[in-house]
Order: sequence, then C-alpha cells, then structure tokens
Amino acid sequence: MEKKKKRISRRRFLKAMGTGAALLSAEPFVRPLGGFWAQERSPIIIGHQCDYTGFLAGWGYWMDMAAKYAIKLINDAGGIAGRKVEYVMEDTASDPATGTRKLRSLIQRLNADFVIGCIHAGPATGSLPVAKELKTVYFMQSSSDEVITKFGSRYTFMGGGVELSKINYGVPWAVKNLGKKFTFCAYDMAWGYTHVNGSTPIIEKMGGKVLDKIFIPLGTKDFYPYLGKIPPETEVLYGVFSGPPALGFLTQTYEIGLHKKMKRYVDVGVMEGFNTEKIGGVAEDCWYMTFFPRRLKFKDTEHVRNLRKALNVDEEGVEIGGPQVLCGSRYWAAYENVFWIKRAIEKSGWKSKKDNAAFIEALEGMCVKEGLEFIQGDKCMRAKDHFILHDLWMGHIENNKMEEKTKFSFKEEPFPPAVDYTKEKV
Amino acid sequence: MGIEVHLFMNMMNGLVWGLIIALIALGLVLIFGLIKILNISHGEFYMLGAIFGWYLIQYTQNFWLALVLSPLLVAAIGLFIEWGILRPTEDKPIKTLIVTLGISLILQYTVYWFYGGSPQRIVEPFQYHLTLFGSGYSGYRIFVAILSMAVIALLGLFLQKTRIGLWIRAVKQDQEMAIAVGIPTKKVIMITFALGSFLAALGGILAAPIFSVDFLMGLEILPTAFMVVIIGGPGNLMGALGASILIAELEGISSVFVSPTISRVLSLVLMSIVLLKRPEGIFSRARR
Amino acid sequence: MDSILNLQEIHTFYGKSHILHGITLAVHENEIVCLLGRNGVGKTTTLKSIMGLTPANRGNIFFQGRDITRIQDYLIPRLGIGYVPQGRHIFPDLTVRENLKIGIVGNKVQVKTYEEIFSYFPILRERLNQLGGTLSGGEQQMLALARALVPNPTLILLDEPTEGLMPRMAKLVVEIIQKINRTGVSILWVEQKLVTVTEVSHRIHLISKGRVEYQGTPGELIQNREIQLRYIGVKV
Ligand SMILES: Nc1ncnc2c1ncn2[C@@H]1O[C@H](COP(=O)(O)OP(=O)(O)OP(=O)(O)O)[C@@H](O)[C@H]1O
Ligand SMILES: [Mg+2]
Repeated sequence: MEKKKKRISRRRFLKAMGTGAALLSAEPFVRPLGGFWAQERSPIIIGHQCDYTGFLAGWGYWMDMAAKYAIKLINDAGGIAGRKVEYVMEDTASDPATGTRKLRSLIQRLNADFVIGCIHAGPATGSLPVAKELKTVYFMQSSSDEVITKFGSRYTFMGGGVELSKINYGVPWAVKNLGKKFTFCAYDMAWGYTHVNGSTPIIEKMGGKVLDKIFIPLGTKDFYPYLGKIPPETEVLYGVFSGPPALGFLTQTYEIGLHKKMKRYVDVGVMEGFNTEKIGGVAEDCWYMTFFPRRLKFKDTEHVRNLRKALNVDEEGVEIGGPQVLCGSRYWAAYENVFWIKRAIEKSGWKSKKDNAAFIEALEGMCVKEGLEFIQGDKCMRAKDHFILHDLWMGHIENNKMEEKTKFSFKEEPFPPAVDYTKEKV
Repeated sequence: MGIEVHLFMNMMNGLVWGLIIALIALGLVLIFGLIKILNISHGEFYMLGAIFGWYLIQYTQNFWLALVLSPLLVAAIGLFIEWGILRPTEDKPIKTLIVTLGISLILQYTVYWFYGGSPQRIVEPFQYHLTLFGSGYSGYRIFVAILSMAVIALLGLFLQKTRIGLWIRAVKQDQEMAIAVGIPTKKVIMITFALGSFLAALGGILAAPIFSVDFLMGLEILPTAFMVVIIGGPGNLMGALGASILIAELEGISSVFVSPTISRVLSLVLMSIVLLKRPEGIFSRARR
Repeated sequence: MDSILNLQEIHTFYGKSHILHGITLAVHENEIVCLLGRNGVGKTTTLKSIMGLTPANRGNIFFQGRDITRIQDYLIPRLGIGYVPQGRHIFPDLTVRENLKIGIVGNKVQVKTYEEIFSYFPILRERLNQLGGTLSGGEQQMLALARALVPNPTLILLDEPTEGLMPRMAKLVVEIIQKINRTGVSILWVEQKLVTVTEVSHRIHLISKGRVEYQGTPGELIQNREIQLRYIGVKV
C-alpha cells in the first residue's frame, strides 16, 4: 500500500507540474552541462506503457511488477553497460486514446529511451506509429500480430507472444484431437478476426469444416441470444474472449449444456485472470492454448520461482494474502522484454538514441537460450516481421484446475512472415 | 435449433435481461426525477450489490442471505453518499456530474484494492435446468425474471399506495410546493436515493450468477441504463420499464436474423430516433 | 387583539440581490390582511419567507408567539399555516384525492373531513379521481385552497388567488375565502388590484421595493388618492 501511494503521488506531482517537471528532471540539464562524461553515466530509462487501471487492471498489476523486478535484478548486478536503469510507468487506463497519449508522455516528458507497451491492442494500434515518429524502440506486448504487421515499423517489436503461434500450433492439434466441425464464437474485434481468419484455412486444409462464425460485440454480457445460433452438429466450439465476459461465456455455455454436446476450445484469454477453482465448475473440460502455464508445476525452474516470489503469488498463481490472480500466460513478457533491451544494448554498444539503428540490427534475428533472463524458454526475435517465436502449451481444465497437457517447442519458421521490416531505413 | 425455438429462447432472454436492466434503470429514473441529476455513479451500486454479495457468500455460503443483505448494505451506502456528498451540490448540475463521476472512480478502485481485478463467479443458488424445445434453459434465469417482476410490482405499489410513495411522487412534481405542504423533502430524496441504490444492487447480485462479478461491471452497464432512460423518457418510470424490455427484446429478436453487432446498432438507431422525434421519451404522453 | 403572525424587519436575498428590505407587518386573529403592490415588489417573496422557502437572512417571524424564522422549512406548514401559492402549484400527476391528502402530515393536526371540504368546494367531489393537471384553472384554484384547508390551519397565506380567473369564478373564490375566514381562520392575502380586496379585507399594507410603505383600513386607503397613485398606480 505504501509503495503504491508513493508512486501515484509522485506521478500526480509530476502531472501537476506539467512541463515544469520535465525541466526539473535531471536529464536535459545534465546532458548539455556534463557533456560526454555525464552521458555515459546517466541512467538508461525504460518506460512502461501499462494498463494499470481500467478493465485490464488485473493484467497491468502484474506486468508492472514483473518489469520492475527485472530492472531491480539488472541494477543489483551493476546495470547495463555500467549504467543504471531507471523505470518510468504511465497508465493507459485500458483506453486506446489515453494509452497513445501516455506513450508520448513517456518518451517526450519522461525521456524514456525504450518503451515496453501495453497488453491492450487498442493503445498499441495507436502507439506503433508514434514510436516510429518519435524514433523510439517499442516492445509491443499485445499479442495481436495483425496490429504490428499493419501499423508497425522497424522500431516496433513483438515482445509478448504472438496469436498466430497459438493458432498455428494449437488448431492442428485441436482438429486432430477434438473434432473436425468448428464453430467460432469471438469478439467482434481485431483479436477475434485474427483467430477466425488464421484458423479457418488450417481447419479446412486438414479436412475439417467451419460451420459458423459468430462475432459478438464488445461489451456483451448476455451470450444467450448468440449461443442459440451455434449449429448443434458442432464438434468444437472455438471461443475468443477475455476478461469478465469470458467468464460469462463459460458460464452460459455450461448453463445450456453445450459442454456436454461439444468440446470447448478457447484462447487462453478466456481463462486468464480468474481462479478456475472458484467458478463453480463452469470451465470444466475446456481446452485452451497458452503462452505460458499459470501454475508453477508446469514450469518449475529456479528463475520462474524467483520471479513468482517477487510477484508474491503461490504455486497456483494466486496472490498471497491478496485478491489478484496472476495473468499466467503473459507476466513473463514484461520481465523478458527488459532483458531483450539489455542484450541488444550489450551487443550493439548502444549509448543513446543516436545508436538506435545498431540496437535494432542487433535485435533482429537474435535468438536466446532459457535462463535467468529468459525464463519462459528458448526463443528468437524473427528479423523480418519482428515476431517473437516462443514455446506454447495446450491446457485442459480438469477438476477445476488448469492442467497443461502438451508443450509445443517453437520452430524457427512456424509460419511465413507477412512483412519485412529489415528493408526499412531507421 | 429451429428458428422458432431460437426466437422463443431469445424472447425469454430479452425478458430476463430487460428486467434486470429495469431494476437498474428504475433507480436511475427515480433519482433523476427527484433531483434532476445524472448519477454517473449509479452503475457502481449495481457493482457493489454483486461484490458485497460475493463476499457475503464467501463467508456465509448462503445466497439467499446475501440476496437480502447486500442490497440493504448498498442502500445504506447510497443513503450516506446522498446525504454526505451529493446534497451540497444537488442544485448545480455540472458539479453533480463531476462529483458522481468522482464517487464512481473512488468506489471502483476501492473495490479493486480489496477485491482485485479478477472476475469472480457467484454460483447459482440452485442448479435447475429446464428443457425448452429440446434446448437447455436455466431455471435460475426464470427465477430472476419472476423475482424482478415481483420487485417492480412492489415498487409500483409502494409508490402508489404508501404515504412515502405519495411523497416521492409529490417531490418529483413540485419540490417547493412539497415543502410548503409539510413534506420532509430532504429525507424523501435521501430515501429515494437509497431505494434506487437498493434496486441497482439487487440487479447486481441477481445478475452475478449469470455473468460474473468484477470491479468494472457498473461501468459496463451504465450506457445501457442511460439508453433506457433516454428511450423511456427521463423521470418516467413506466417508460423505463417499457424501454428496458424493449431494448433487450429488440437485441434478442433481431440477433436471430442479423449479426449481433448489427442488432446492437439497431438499439442505438432506436435511441437516436427517439431523441430526434420524441425527446420526452417513446412512451411520453401527449399532454406534456 | 392578539397577533397571530408577526414579521419584524425581514430582509431576504436571492443570491446577492437584496429583495426584501425590512418588511414589518402583523396579522391578528380572525383578520383578513392584505398585502398590495405592483409587479416585482416582493409580495411573493414575503410569503415565501414566511414559509421558509426563501428564508429571511435578517429579522424575525413570529407565529402564535413562537419564533419560526430559523426552523426547518417543512415544519412550518405543520404548525398550522396553509399556503396557496401564486399559479396554484397543484401536483399535476396526483389525483385530486391525493392532492388533498398530501397536506395531512404529522399526527398532531386535526384534519378536516372531505365532507367539510366539499361544503366549500362541491365541484371537487366529482373530480376526486381525476389528475390535478387536468382540472380547469378555476377548479385548480379551488383545489389549491382546499389543499391548504385540509390540515385545518389557523392562518392561510394567499398569493393572488383570483389571478387569471373569469370574473364570476373570481367572485366565487372571494366568497369562499370570506366563508373560511368566518370559521376563525386568519388570512394574509397578497394582491395587485385594490378593487379585489376593498370589500373583504380588514387592513391593507402597501409594499414597494421590498418595504411596507403604508398601512390602513380599506376605507382610509380609498380616501388617499395620492398614496394609491404612488404605490399601486392609477387604476382603482
Ligand atoms: N428565484 C429568483 N431569483 C432571483 N430573483 C428573483 C427570484 N424570484 C423573484 N426574484 C426577484 O425578486 C423580486 C420580487 O419578486 P416577487 O416574486 O416577490 O414579486 P411580486 O411582488 O410577487 O410580483 P408579482 O406581482 O409579479 O407576482 C423581483 O424583482 C424578482 O425579479
Ligand atoms: Mg408574486
């Protein structure tokens, strides 16, 4: 409580001071006065555009802590290339317009050298062009890969998992193991279309069939009117929702007995953020594809343990002495993105934004091994489309618990890149 | 599922959902009728109803107890908010807008602090599933519909038949004259505010087993509630009831034939037409 | 004679504008006292100040010897003061019956029966279940009077009760007021036209710019053409 209060009041203070605060912050003064010497010593500032309040608050809470913990580890070990790392955070309020504005604030007012983006695809969409305009490297944590292929640039990287990976690894498995006749039930938004459009050709190529695609408007609470449209011969009901409505989806499909007639196969967004043991069994027998298991036992390494300890969660991913539930599929990304920055700085000899070109070139195509810095597993930052390639898991709800059944180790080329950013000039 | 069955299911649903919205909108309309404020924080009473319900059920394992206690607790909070925070600003509309927005944020993030950002579920008090035309239908939803109708009928009786009900109607029509005939107007406003909070909270806990419980659920319901108020006519109780069911049925029925997003757009179109053609509400009487 | 109502140096403001500049007047038991003045001089404000609707900022108001200046607004009618406001202010969406019932508050008051009320206003008997807003202007005025009368007040404040009525209806209203007065109810009557009240009032106060400038009996006032000209205009 203390900590939170302090930070908020500090941010308030800065806000109230407006541009005055920017003048007061050490950077602009030290640089011209101290010249080249001060530049070496000044901290590297990592900004975090975080969904700290609003409907994704339950995510932002963890992303903020995970990023801070990574920075603490780095500073305790002497920083990056001898320079301390400073963390600045701005809250998107889970709102596209606010989030985009906050990115400008992070870069222009708080002088962030690099920015780790939010999970919400809305602010990310607006932020990608801003990152390019302000020549700042931006690690998008939204997994909506269409956003980065459409609006991205050489400055933007996907650092938080890729939806297309879930589709390319998960859907073939589902066609093989769950059934051939699919019906989609997805949010009427980019994320929903990514799944529907990405999965359909895979299903059809494997001899399966898509019976119906039901798009449901954002903000829908009552799914009954739409559930009635699901063709009864459906074998796999493919759900793409997140947050509270996702719980509504599980509840209502269960209520009308669809769970007995067909397999529910969902994006992990559906499961994320709530405790599956406390929802009265409505998620039972659901299959889900995830970037990372929430429960420790499915990836029990020293480094995962340490991060989870810093986040103060138990083995199940529930906050100790608190109400929050860990966003298991995502939290590792905020941590690892800090280390992508570290690796690329070390490889490129980056000193200031003037060296961004070298930084970007160093990052493009970089592959890393699992360890303290990359706890989720081996992975690569594919050069052309700036997609992160990583391991995935297929989970199943059994006795109200999330059980990760299958791990998919990532392949170098699971699907071809749709864009080539390496040709763009920095 | 045949189209008639689907249509029938959606009509049932429209009724259930419409009645829950009516509980929320009726409170909003009652309050607006009396003090002419747009209470942005009204959705939070709906949220608090579900949140308190969730906590009470955690501790007592008794849904029925929570169903009674939670709205009462929320009514007490409503009472306090009207008396302590709103009253000094009641005659300044812009101020009330800002103040109620502030109350809304404070309530949301106080709840976030204790309850967290994760949605939770309240399990239905009974698991009875009817089979309607070969498809499952939750018995709990039918219970919600019946209880909501009963509560709305009771509200009507309360307003028509009791002395406080008479006072509420009098204050709504002419506040100054109400004072001049000896009605304790301030207390009446306070009671009405509490009553409105009670209804919203009841809607919240009733809806909880169907949807989920989270700290922003009030924010999500508010646009629909306001839409109902606009279509039904500000301050018009019967209008609000009619509009709630109308909107829910419109979405339910139209979604059988068109895509869900278009059916959502339809209700917005309806609202625009009402705003342009009958700014007093679709059910307004010619007299005024 | 004891005074039932006593206003001493009443000052009232609307926000910053100073409307009443020290009104002093008294109503004695069984009297019909008239407050006469042009548009906008503060007649209505005086009545509202008594009712606590626009509370006096300075001065004192005594009712039956009790200082009521600072008591809560809604308690004032319960003391036995009926108010018939300018423009009647019937509750339009309440039935006539409800409009009558509404004044019955607190359990101390000895209320009048509907039969008593109908003896003054027979027309209301037929209208009992009609909405207040659907009555004619004259009927509404009757209802406003009846509503004030139900809780059995000792004093009634009337604000231009014949305003906008046909002459025949106006005459009827004046007669009823006199009848009520004869049962021992004192009356403070705000009026613009001297002619309406010369016959019925016991004393007349002339008010101008928030101040009582003259008082006397109707007979005295009729004699004094200069005062009439100065405070209520030429038309008598
Ligand atoms: N709510 C208000 N706010 C500000 N000024 C007001 C308000 N009500 C009345 N006034 C002003 O106070 C003055 C006295 O008004 P009041 O209604 O008491 O006059 P009146 O003597 O009853 O006039 P009339 O014969 O037209 O009814 C007027 O100048 C009027 O403009
Ligand atoms: Mg007047």
